[in-house]
Amino acid sequence: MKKALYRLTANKLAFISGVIVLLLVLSAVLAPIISPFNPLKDDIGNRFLKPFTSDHILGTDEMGRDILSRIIFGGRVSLLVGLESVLFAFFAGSIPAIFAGFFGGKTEFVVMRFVDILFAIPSLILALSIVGLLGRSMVAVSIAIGLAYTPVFARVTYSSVVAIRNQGYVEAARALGTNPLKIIARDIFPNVLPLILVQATASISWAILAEAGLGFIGLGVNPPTPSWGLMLSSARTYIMEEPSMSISPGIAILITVFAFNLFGDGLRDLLDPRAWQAGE
Amino acid sequence: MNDIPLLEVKNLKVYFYLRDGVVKAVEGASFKIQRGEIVGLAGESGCGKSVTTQAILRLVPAPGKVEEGEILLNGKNIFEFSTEEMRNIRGGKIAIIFQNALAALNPVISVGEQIADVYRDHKGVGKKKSLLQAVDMMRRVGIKMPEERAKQYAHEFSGGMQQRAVIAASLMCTPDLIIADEPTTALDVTIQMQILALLKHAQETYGTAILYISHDLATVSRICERVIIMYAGEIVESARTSELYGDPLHPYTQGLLSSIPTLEGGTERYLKAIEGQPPKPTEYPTGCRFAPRCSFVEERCRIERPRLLNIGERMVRCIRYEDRSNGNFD
Repeated sequence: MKKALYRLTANKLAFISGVIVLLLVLSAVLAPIISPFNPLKDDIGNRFLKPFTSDHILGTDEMGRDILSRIIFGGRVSLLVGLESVLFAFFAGSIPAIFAGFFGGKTEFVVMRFVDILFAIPSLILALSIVGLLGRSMVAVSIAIGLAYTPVFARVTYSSVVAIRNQGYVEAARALGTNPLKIIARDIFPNVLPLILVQATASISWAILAEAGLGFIGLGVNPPTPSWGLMLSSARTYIMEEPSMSISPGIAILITVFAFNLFGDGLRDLLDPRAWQAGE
Repeated sequence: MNDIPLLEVKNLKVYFYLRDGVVKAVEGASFKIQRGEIVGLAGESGCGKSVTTQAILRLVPAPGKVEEGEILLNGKNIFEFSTEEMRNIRGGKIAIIFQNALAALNPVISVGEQIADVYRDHKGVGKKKSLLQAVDMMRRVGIKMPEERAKQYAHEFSGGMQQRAVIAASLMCTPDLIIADEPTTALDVTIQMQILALLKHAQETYGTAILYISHDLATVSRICERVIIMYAGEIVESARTSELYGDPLHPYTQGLLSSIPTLEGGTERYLKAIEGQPPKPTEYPTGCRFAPRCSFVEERCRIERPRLLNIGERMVRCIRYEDRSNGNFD
C-alpha cells in the first residue's frame, strides 16, 4: 500500500492529473451542493452578464442562467456519458475480443467478423439511428458513443491478446495444466489490461468530446439538461458578442480531456511492474 | 524396478499440414523412459525434439497432428485421457521447463505466486498454504532469501535465478517426469553447471525422471544416463551415455561427436563438420534420411528406409549393423 502510494506520487504529471480527475468526479457528485445557483433557472433581468462582474462568477447565458453552475452540472453528463460509453465498449468489445484472441478458431471468426461489420457502419450514422431509436437520453447517447468505440476496443484488445497468447508464460501455464479460464484471468487479462486502460482513458476524453459534438448538432441529451456540448452549441450564436460563453465550457472540456489522458498514461505505468522505479 | 516403463513412446508420427506440403516433423519415434532415469534427447534444430515433447503433453499446435502412434504414461495411453485428466497430468505428473525462463514467467504476477499457482491448481489448497510451499521450494532450488524473492517479479531475477524459479514451479507437484527443453541454452557456462546440478539433485531427491532435450552434446553427457539422437524427425541412435560417446554407431552420431572440440589431441586435430545441410522437412529422401550426407552411403541406403535395429541394449537406425542386430524396434 505504501509502495503503491509512492509509485502514484512518483510520476508528478500523473499524480496532478489524477487529483484533477478526482476533483472533477467530486464536483459532479456534489453538483447540487457546490453549485452557487440553480443551473435551470432563467433570470431574464440578468442575461449576458460578463464574467467576474457579479455574483455569477463566470457570467450568465442568453436566458440569464449561471454559467458556472451549468458547467458543474454539465460535468455530470460528460463524465457519466464518458464512463458509461467506455464501460459499454469494454464489455461489448474487449471481453469478447479476449476470448476470440485466446481461443481462435470459430470464436475468433464470429466475434471479429462481427466487429468488422460494426466497423463498416459509419459511427455518426450509427449514433444518429440509436439516438433516434432510444430518444435523446443520457443512456442512449452513452450507448451510441460506446457502440462506436466497441470495434476499436475489440481490435486493440484482440491484437494484444494474440501477441500474448504465444508468450512463453502462456505456453508454460498450459504445459503445467492450468485451466484455460484461469489462464485468461491470470496471464492474459492482467497483461492486456494496461493497454485497455490507456485505450479507455483516451476514449473517455474522446467520448466527452463526442457527447459535446452530439449535443452541438442537437443529438445530445435533452435540453434544458446542462451539458458542455449543448452550452457550446447555444453559445455559438453569440460568439462575437459574448466569447466567454463559449470559452468557459471549452476550457472545462479541455481540462477534463487533458486530465484523463495523462491519468491514463500514469495508470498504465502504475500497473506494470517493469515500469516501477528501482530503489523502492 | 517396475516392469512398466514410466513413459513409452511407440511409433509416434506427428505431421504438420501446411499449404505447401506436409511436414513430417516426427516420423516413427519410439523410446522408453524408466522411473527416475535421466534421458537425453539430442539433435539439431528442427529435427523434431520439441514436437516430440509437445506430443507427450498433447499440446501439438495446429496445424500439427499426431498421425499415428501411442504414448503410454505408466502403461496408459495418454491419447485416451479426457481433456480434464490431461490437464491434471500436465504439471501434476509431467512438468516442463522451457529454454527461455524469463518468457516462461508472467511479468505482472510475483514469482512466488506463480510457483504457488501450480500447486494450488493441482492440489486445491489455499492461497496462503500454497505460498508457503512455494517459498519452501524456492529455498530448495537454491534461491536465497526466498521469502523476499517470492514477492519480486520475474524481471528482478537474474537469468539463472529465473530458471531456478521455473524449476521450482515444475517441482511443486513432485511430477514423475520433467521435460527439460534446452533449460541451459540461454545461460552462461557456470550457471549451466549449477542448473544441471540442480536437475540432478531433483532427480536424486524426488526420484523424478528427466527427459533432457538439447542440441548441446556436452551438457547431455553431463547428466544423462541414456541418450537418444534424433535426425530429421527420426530416432537414429539410442544408447547408454558412455557407450554412445565411446563407440558411436550411427554415422550421424559419429559426425556429431567429431565436431565437438576436446582438450586432448592438441591443435593438430581439426574439428570435422558434417557435410551438407539437413534435408528440408517437406522433401525428405525416400531411403535413409541421412544418406545424402553420409560418408558410408551405399546404393541400398537411397532406396530403402532403414529400420531401428536393436543391438544389445542399444538401438541404431543404419543398415550397416544388420548383421549385429538382435531384432528391430519398428
